[in-house]
Parts: sequence; C-alpha cells; structure tokens
Amino acid sequence: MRNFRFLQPDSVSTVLKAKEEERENGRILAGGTNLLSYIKMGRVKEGLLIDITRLDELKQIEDTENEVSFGASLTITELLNSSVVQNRLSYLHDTLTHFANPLIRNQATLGGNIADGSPIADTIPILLVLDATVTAASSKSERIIPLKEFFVGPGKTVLAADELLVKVSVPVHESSGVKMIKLGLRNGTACSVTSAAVRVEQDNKKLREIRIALGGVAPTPIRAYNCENALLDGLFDIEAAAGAELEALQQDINPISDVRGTAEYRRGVSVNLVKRALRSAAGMEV
Amino acid sequence: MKKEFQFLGKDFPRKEGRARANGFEKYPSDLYFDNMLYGRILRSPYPHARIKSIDFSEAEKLGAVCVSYEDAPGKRFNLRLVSVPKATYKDWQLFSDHMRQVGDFFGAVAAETEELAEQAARVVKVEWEILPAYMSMDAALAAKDNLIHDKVFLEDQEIKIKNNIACTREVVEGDIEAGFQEADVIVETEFETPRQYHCQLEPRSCVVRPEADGGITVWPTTQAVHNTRILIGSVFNLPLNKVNVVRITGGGHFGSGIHTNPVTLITTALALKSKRPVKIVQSREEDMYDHVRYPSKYVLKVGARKDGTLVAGHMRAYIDIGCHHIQALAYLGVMSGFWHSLYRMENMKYEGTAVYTNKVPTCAMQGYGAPQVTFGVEGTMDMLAEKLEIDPIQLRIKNYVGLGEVFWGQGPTVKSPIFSDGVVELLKKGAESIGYYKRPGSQKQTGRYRRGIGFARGFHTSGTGAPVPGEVKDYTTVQVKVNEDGTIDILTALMDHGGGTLDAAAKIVAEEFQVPFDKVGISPADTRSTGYDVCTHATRGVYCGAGAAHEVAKKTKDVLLEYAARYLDAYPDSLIFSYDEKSGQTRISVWGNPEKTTTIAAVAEHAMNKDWGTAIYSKSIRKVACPPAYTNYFVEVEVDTETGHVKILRVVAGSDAGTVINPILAKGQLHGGFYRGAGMALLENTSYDDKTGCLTNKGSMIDYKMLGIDEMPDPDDFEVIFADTYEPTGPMGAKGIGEAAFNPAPAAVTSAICDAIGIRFTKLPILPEDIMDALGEGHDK
Ligand SMILES: Cc1cc2nc3c(=O)[nH]c(=O)nc-3n(C[C@H](O)[C@H](O)[C@H](O)COP(=O)(O)OP(=O)(O)OC[C@H]3O[C@@H](n4cnc5c(N)ncnc54)[C@H](O)[C@@H]3O)c2cc1C
Repeated sequence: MRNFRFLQPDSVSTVLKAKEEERENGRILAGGTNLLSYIKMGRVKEGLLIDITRLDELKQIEDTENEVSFGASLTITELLNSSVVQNRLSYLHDTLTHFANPLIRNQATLGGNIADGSPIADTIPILLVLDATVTAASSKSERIIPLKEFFVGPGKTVLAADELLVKVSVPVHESSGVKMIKLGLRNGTACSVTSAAVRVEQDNKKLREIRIALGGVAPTPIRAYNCENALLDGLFDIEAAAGAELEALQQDINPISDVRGTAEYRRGVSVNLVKRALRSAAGMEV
Repeated sequence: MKKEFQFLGKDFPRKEGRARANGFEKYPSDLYFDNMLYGRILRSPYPHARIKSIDFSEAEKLGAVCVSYEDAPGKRFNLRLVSVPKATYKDWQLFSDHMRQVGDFFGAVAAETEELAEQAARVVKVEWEILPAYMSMDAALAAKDNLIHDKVFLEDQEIKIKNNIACTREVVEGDIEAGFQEADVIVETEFETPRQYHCQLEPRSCVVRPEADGGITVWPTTQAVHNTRILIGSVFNLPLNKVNVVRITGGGHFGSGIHTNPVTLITTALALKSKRPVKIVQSREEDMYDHVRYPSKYVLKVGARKDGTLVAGHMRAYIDIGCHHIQALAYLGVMSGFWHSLYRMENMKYEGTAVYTNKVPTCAMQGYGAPQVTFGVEGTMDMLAEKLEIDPIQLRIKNYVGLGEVFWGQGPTVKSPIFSDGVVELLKKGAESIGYYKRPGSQKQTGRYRRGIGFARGFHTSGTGAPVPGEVKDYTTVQVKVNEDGTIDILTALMDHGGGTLDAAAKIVAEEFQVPFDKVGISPADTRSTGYDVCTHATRGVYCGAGAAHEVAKKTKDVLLEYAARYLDAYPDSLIFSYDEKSGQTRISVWGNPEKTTTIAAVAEHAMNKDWGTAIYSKSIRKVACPPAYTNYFVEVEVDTETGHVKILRVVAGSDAGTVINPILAKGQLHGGFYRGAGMALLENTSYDDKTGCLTNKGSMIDYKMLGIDEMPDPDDFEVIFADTYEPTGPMGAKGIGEAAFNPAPAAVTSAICDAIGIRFTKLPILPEDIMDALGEGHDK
C-alpha cells in the first residue's frame, strides 16, 4: 500500500526539524520530477513528503566577487532567467538550455538534480569542473561539501538522513574557458547517454589547469583525474592537448550497457565529447 | 490524368477541426455517466505463470466488484475479426489462469473511484506457479513442454501447438531452383525490423453502460465498431441488437484498434457483473504492454540476370508474434503479398513461421508488413544495383510491378489488376528535385559530418477488395439522404482515425451533388443505426469507405432526379446539377430548356409536401479491386561520425494517390508517415529484460524514444509531389495514402545513411551506437 503524509513547512528550520524526526522517512519533495516517478514505480512507498518549493529561503541567489551561490529550490527555468547566470556563468546557462524540456525545467530544481544522486544529472559535470561546493544543513549543524566528494553510488550521496541540501556555491573562474556537451538519443526531453564538461586555464597557449568531468560513464558523475593528470603532466600546449588520444580517460570511466546505450558506445563517444568540449573551452574551432 | 473538380483537390478545413482544437471533442476517456464505476485490470508480474488461487476478499471489503478467469466463459476467439472464419486462429479467452507475458490480465476490479479501484487491485492476493519463460524465438522453438499455448483453434478445429509455432505459411510461384540457375548475380541477406510501439495519443480505453432493456452501450477505442459488437455478442452470449457500439472519436490508433482491445471486453465484463456503467482508462504503461508492431526477421535471396532482370526470389521469415495471435496468419500472407507486388519475379517462394514468445502480442501497425518487407527488398535492390553496376532507379523501373499487372493487395487471396501507375513519374521527379545524381557519395567525404542521399519506393494497397472473395472481408454500408433544405447527411459506420476519411466521404458526396462541403454532414453513428463496415484499416478509408459513399450518393441522386423530373416536367436523364457560387445554391436544370430550372432544396421540400418521399438510399458496397497507392521518398541525411547521430536534412516525398481529395491533409499524411517511418529506422523499438520479462523501458516514455520535432527537417525542406494519375475504379479517381505514406520511409533513410558513410544496415533501428560500431569496424551491419 502507498501511504504518504504531506507537510508544507513555512521555514527551513521546520524542514530540518521534520527531517530530524523522520530521518529516511522524511522525503524532500522539490520539483518532484524524479520523486513522483519513484512513487509511481513503487520505489518509494511511504513516508512524510516535505514540500520545499515554497520556501523563499531556498530560492536566493547570492552574487559575490568570487562566487555565486544558489538556493537549492531554484528551478532550472529560474536559473536560466537569472541575469547572474546569463552574465557571469554563461556556460552554465548554455548547459541548462539542453536540460529536459520547458515543462520539466519549470518544475525541476537544482537541489533535486544534485541530491537525487543520478549519474546522468545534467548540472553535475559542469558544476564539478567549476569546483562547486554544496551546503548541507541539519537541525544541529551546517557543513560545506565539495561536490566532487558528494556522490557515493547510483542514487547515493553523502547527505545524512537528517540533512537538507540548502545551497550550491559556484566559484567564478573569470579566466577559464568552460564547455559542457550533453549527448542524448535525441535533442529534446532526453536523458543523457553521456555528457562531458571541461574547464581550461591557459597561459600563453600552455595548459595551466584543466578539469574534466563526465556523466553517464560510471556509477556516479565523475572527475576524470587520470585524464586531467596525463594532460597536465605532458605539459601540453593547448593544440596538442586537443589533438591527444586521451587514452588515460579509459581508466577514469567504467560505463555499463543499458537501455540508452552500450558500454562500448559510451567509451567511444566519451573521448569525442571531451575532445570537443576541450577545444570549445579553449576557444578553438570545433 | 487528373480531372477538373469543383471541390476536390482543394484544401478544406476539417469538419471536426474546431471541436478538436477547442477541446470540445469527446474521446472515450472523457466520458462520464452517473453511477459510474472505475475499473482497474489485474495483471501478471511474471512473463509465464499459472495462477493457483486468487483471493478477492480484501478487495471486496473495499466494495469492489471483481471478475476473473473464475467467472469467465472459457470460449476461445480471436480479437481481430477482419479475416473470414476459416482463416482465423483463436487463442484468446476473456480471462485465463495462464499468464503469458508480464502485464497479461487475469481479472479486474471496479470501484466507486479510481483511487479505490487502484487500492482494491493492490490487495487482491494471488498464488503463482512460475513457468519457464521464452523471451526469444530460439528459446521458444526449443521448448517441448510448458508451451505458451498447448492448443488453439482454427475456426472450430482444434490444433495442437508444437515448439511454440503459432502458424506457418508458404506461398510459391514458379520454380525458384530453376530461377536461381538463370541468375548471374545473387544477393542473400538477413534483415531484421523492430517491435515498434504504436504510441497513439490516447491509451486503449473503454466505457460500457448497461441499459434498461438488458442490453449494453459501448464506447471503445476502436477502428471497427461492428466487429467490436460482433465479438462482444459472441463472448458474452448477447444478441447483437442488445449490444450497441458507438463510434466515438479515438485519440489515434495506427492499427492498434483493428482488433477489439482486451480492455473493451474487460470493461464489458465488469459492467455486466456490476450492472453499472464502468470506465477503464489504461495507463501508458499498460498500453505499452497491450500491443506492438510485428517485428520481422527474414533471409531474402534474390537473383538477377546481367541485364538487371530479376529471375528468382526466396524469403524465409520468422516472426516473433508475442504471446497471442492477432491474426499472424494474415500477417504472413501480407508479407508474401507485399513482396510479390514490389518487383516482378516469375519464380518466388515465401516461407513464414510465426513463433509465440512471452512478450506483448503483436498486431498491425501503419503499413502492416509493408515497411518490414520494403526495408529488405529495397536494400536488396540497392545491393543488386551495385553488383550489376546498374543505376538503382533504372533497376527499379525495369522490374517494378505496374500498370496492367496483377497486384496482391493483402496477401495471395486479395489481388486485382493495376489500372493507374505513377511510379516512373514520381521516381524521375523525386531524383531531379533532390539532386540524386549530384550526390558526392561516401568515398569523397572526410571530416566529422558526412552527407548522403538515398531513396526507396513502395506502396500500400487501397483496401482489401478484390473481384473474388478472399481471406479478408471488405465492404462498407452507407446511407445518403437529402434533407428538406437541400443539405445532405451521410450515415455510415466508417471510422475516421484523424486522417480525414469521413471528410473525404463528405467531399466526394458534395462533388457528386455539386453542393458545398459544409452542406454535407456526417451523422453520428453506432452499430444499431448502421449496416456493417469491416474496419478502417488497410488504407481502405477513402477508396473503399468514401468509395461506398460515392456509389450510394449516385443512387440517392437517382431518387432525387426522379423527383426533380416530376417537378420540372422533364426526363431524369436530361437534368444537370450545377453549383452557383453567387447564391450558394445547387441548381437542377433541364438541358436546352434554361427556363426549366430549380434547386435541390426546392425539389426536396416539394417532394416532402407532396408526400413523394425523401431522397434517401442505403446499400453495402464492396470494391472489386485493391489498387496500389505508390509512394517513394528521397532523403538527404547528415551523419555525425563523432556521435553516430543522424540528422534528416531534406525529404522529397512522391505520392500516387490518384485524385487527391484534400491536398493539405494528404501532405499531412506524408509528413506523419515519414516521421514514424524515420523513427522506425533510427530509434523506435521495445526490447526486453530477459530475466524479468519486463520491457527495458518499463512502459515509460522516457525510454521509449521517438524522434522529436528537432529531428525532423524544416517543413520547407519537405517537398511533396503528387503523381498525375486517375484511378478508374476509385471514387472520382482516388486511391489510398495513409499507410503508403509510411512504407518506404525506413528503407529510404537507411539508403541515405549508406550513401553517406558507405555502410549498409540490415537491422533496424540504426542507433547511434550501431553507427559508431560500424564506423569503428568499417563494414556493413
Ligand atoms: C521528462 C523528464 C525529463 C528529464 N530530463 C532531464 C534532463 O534532461 N537532465 C537531467 O539532469 N534530469 C532530467 N530529468 C530528471 C529530473 O527532472 C531532474 O533530476 C531534476 O533536477 C530533479 O529535481 P526535482 O526538483 O524535480 O527533484 P525531486 O524529484 O523533487 O527530488 C529528487 C530527489 O532529491 C531529493 N531532494 C530534492 N531536493 C532536495 C534537497 N534540497 N535536499 C535533499 N534532498 C533533496 C528528493 O527527496 C528526491 O529523492 C528529467 C525528468 C523527467 C521526468
């Protein structure tokens, strides 16, 4: 039997109190674009649904010199409409235009996309290369977690049973080039089969810093540390980096075959996507 | 050659367009009646199982009315009544304790609200005996016991099933051994096409209301109200005059309503037991477990002489039909027929085997077997052309079955001569328009994006009429009546699935009477008020259905002419109908006597006042031919060699529909048919998790991907060419179009991909991963 209770709290502290009492049974309901399908499929059968969509506290955007912070309940559409995103994080804006479709974007939240723990959540690879952090709050304390340490397995994150994801902070890298590419089975309303994001810092055509992150090629979204290191160790100039075969990437990824694509396909296109994202981030012709 | 018409050939807005756009149109899922219960269907979570016991006590405590195999008559039947009884295999029961697929149904509950029905469905307890499941044809064919069906009936003759083989069919013409001896070149290839889901907008649904006289009224999603009535009558032992099936607009069918959907029978069972109106609207998930297109796997061997003459062909097909017959015998028949009618071959042999598996039962979908067969046959023609070094278009022109030859419209028992043929015109114009002879080819291209142009041709039958009776029933009953103000009503059980079939009937009748389109109305219809109509399928809507309306309209006109002759004191044969645009009136005049003139309205009114009667006529009309509606597509694609994605850049569609009744709707058919055909080529499929027997998409649209609007070319890059033909046996020269619009599309897209990257795919869909795989390995797939 499905058995749900419903709570529409008026403050974050009420949410946290409910989470403290209910723990795993307290289900945060943000946009519900994932949660409702879990309920429909019978993966979630009972508990207290805690609706956080009406809390203004979780809808704030803080724009500081080095960092922009987003409240967890901001929807993808709200992010797309934000002038801060459009101006200071235009690459994030570009990424979000490929997210699902307008209906889902009106509903889906940033916090839900991250807390869901899906290996193909589309905001993650780009947030990973930007060195984003998330803030988790409980009724007792608050902690900041680097996003790269946030994911544990498919659908699993380091969030404790009494914690709420309240904020996502994104450092602004003025001098970096950033690009994320999403690959689905079609353009609109398609889950990613594989996605890749790259951020490069260059110095006189020399690669100074590089971040590579991918979705859909491992149990969690990943940073491609081996590949990053291989490129940096080679002291590559940017042209050479973009032309490299990226063999090391294969050690970073561990894709599976599923209804959306084979492991082999994901291995192959990952290389192509990273290369293309790299060229684009470095301002080269793609 | 085309004729000049007053109304035909011009664009008209759809009669029901306004209601649809404004949300006034009612579909079965919109209906509500006082005292109505909501039903939920009980389904198997296992692909193959037997029910040991079932316990409804908890559901009954919630006030639910429950039905199951325990109170169902054991009678076996086929849901599809289009074929004659002697060609109909029967393996369905209303409910059974033998579950043959995930989602198979063993009972149903009805309760006061949807929520309560859902709850009641969840508390029904079942004890299962799990049987080995056969999720592939190989596994099914190897099985000796625990068969999916032990016995079935062919008409009333019991047939023992062996190795899960549902039925077989062989069709032979000439002698293939001798034929292949004559061949200089032979191509032999295995082809495979997917299990495409219909994805009609409205899931199969039904409302049934018991009536005070002991009868029932039924509002189903169907393409055939009369067959639905006949089946309900037979399954529930009800006299047909107590079963009234209403024609109600359906939210799309694409073939999924040719057979009576199980939900219709289940809703009826609940309504009869509860004695209250019952409604069941299936979820999308249930719908995906309800019906799917026939997949096809076949080896095709074709031999040709050096000059390109085809001499022999052999097709060996294995069809994974899922867990029930929705007339696989007919499917095997049409495969042979469509193949036979594509290219002339004196020696040919078709061997088809239909195999039961524990999957969703397969049924007709737009094109029936034609897209499947055309995919392999057109691929083979391309391969032959390459080997023979003959231009692919010329090879087709040399061998295609055309004017004066015999066309098999619906398998070997439905055939008639071809009287109109626009094939050569369409191939030439299409090639010219897309620049077929200017394509660079795969060899000359490097870089990430590669472009290619390909084409394929095909057809669909227009109906299943023929000069002699065959395995398929085909006729339509129509009544046409002139009202007292000169307007006209058409009453028929003919269905319109959204393609404008009934509009076409109205337009043809308007043309016959020379009255404007909006003066011809389509009456609401149900089985009580209309004579039999077989079904709107097989692209028979315009040719057979509207064709019947035309024949009857002529008879009605004869009655009107009698009245007019009396009124004008002239002879009927001297009367001329003409439309006067200025007054908006249709005049009847005596030739050579301009002063002797009146209007339809005046005659009709006078006939009533004088008690002469109403100009009305009703008749069943069978067409005695099944003309091919030819189609071809020229397609330009761009293949992204980094991702394996295919983009369709340009389409030139060629359609030989005879007289085009309503060009804007006909073009819409081509856009839509191509869209789904391209989807079959590039994306659409339903696959299974062999361990659980579930669909890998879990019945969710998220993982049943269809092409999006983004994947289709800009409408400006989709050109439509209509052939300049006139079908002498058709209503005012018209043939069909609907399924013809689909059939060559998958083959054409495949051919364009081959032109772009030099790799020929023989299995659909061609997913990005298949393209990347093939590019990596550098050979055909
Ligand atoms: C048709 C469709 C298309 C889609 N396309 C895409 C796509 O293109 N890209 C993509 O990335 N995703 C896609 N998704 C998935 C989904 O829309 C996104 O992941 C979305 O961002 C989830 O956000 P939500 O607010 O709806 O989360 P919900 O469904 O409300 O929540 C998801 C999970 O996160 C938990 N949660 C939510 N917020 C918090 C919080 N603040 N703290 C702690 N836990 C929390 C919930 O309890 C739940 O377990 C699609 C979904 C659908 C239905």
